[in-house]
Parts: sequence; C-alpha cells; structure tokens
Amino acid sequence: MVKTAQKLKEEEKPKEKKLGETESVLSKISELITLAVEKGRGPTAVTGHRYSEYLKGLEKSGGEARERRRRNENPTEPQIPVFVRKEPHLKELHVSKTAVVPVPISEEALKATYSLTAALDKAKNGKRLEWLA
Amino acid sequence: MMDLFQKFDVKHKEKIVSSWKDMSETDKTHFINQVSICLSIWGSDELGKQIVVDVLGRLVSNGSTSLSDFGLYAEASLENSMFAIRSEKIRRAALIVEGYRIKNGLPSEPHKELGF
Repeated sequence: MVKTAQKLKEEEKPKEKKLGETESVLSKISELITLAVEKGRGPTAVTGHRYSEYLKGLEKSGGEARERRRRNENPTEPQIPVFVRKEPHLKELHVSKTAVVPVPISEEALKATYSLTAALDKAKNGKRLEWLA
Repeated sequence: MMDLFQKFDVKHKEKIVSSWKDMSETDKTHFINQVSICLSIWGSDELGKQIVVDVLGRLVSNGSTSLSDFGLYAEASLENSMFAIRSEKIRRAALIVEGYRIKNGLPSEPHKELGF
C-alpha cells in the first residue's frame, strides 16, 4: 500500500502533548511513584506532596492548573458526595448515626425482654397473652 | 401481679401474637434487641414495661405486621401523658434505636400488607 507523502509526514511528526492533559498527568504521577518507591518512601504520601508541587509549577509556567480550575475540572472547593448534596437529610442521618453512644444493656432489661418473649411464645392465641409486671 | 396487657382488647392481642409467630428468627432478634435497648434506657420497672406495651399497641393499631418495627414507634409513646415523667429517656431511647436500625439496615417504614 502506497502512502502519500502527506500521511508519512504526519506519522513522523511526534504528537504534541500539552501539560494538563490526562495522559501527561498520569505519566507524571507514574514517574513520581517510581521515584518515591526507588527512594524507599511510601508512594501515596510522596506523590501527594510532589503532585501538588507539580501543579504549582504548572500554574507558574502556563497557568494550566488555573485554567482547569476555571473549567471546574480541578475545583478548589472540597468534594462532597453528590447524593448528600441532593438529599441533605442523609447527611443529618449520618450525623445522628455517628452521635449514637453505645448503651450497655442492663440485666434487668434483658430479663424483662425475655419474660415478654416467653409470654409471646406461650400464648397460643390473643386471649392467653399475659405479661406480668 | 398485674397483667400489662389487660387493657388490650383480644383483637389487638391476637395481632401481636400472630405477628410474633410469623416473624423470622432474625426479626425476632431485632425485636429483642430494640426492646432491651429501650428498657435499659427508659427503665425496666413497671412503668418501663407499660411503655413497651403502649408501643406494641401503637404498632399493631397502625397495621404493622412485624414486631421488629418496634423502634419506629418508640417515640410515639410520648403522646401518652402517663409517660411524661420519662419523656427525655424515651427520646434518647428512640434516637439510639434509630441508630441501631440504620446500622442493621432495618427499614425506615413499617412492614405493612399492601391492600389492592
């Protein structure tokens, strides 16, 4: 198959990679992880630190990070799960859930409960249901 | 010794007994846990037991078919002026049982038969 000179020229020409594109960011992260592992440090902590430095560098050099923030790809506000934003009551439920203090169940309470369940087991019908105080 | 269900009519008692018999072992455990938590908080004396009976009465009157819905009606007993003295404890128990229900994935709506 004969390729035209134009196509050959296009293939030879290396594709330009703009900083800030997903691909280049991922390759940078992978590079940083390799560096961190080589130095014997935890990849997450080091890359987190280095990555923020990298973003700062971008901001200084070309304003790419600023541009992405403007497009809301890298928002400055903390990320809140969408369902909480849509249904704020779920957040409240979560709060009340975490605020619950474990209660030790008293022996008397357990005895009383079991006396109730025993009464329920014993009763063959409604007429015979009795729970003595 | 007095029977705590003596003020109940037979129909209500029948509903309580039949729903207990139809419940799964898991639901029975959830019922026992919720009642135990409530009795631990609002007291397991005669008044505390009367609150439990009041809650059971509200549960069956509302058409719930499972006693494991107990926690959903715990706070409703505040409507009964007889228990005003324990109102704070009832509120606390209701909140803690709500936490128990969320933690165990129990429904926020009572079990009811759909009437078509």
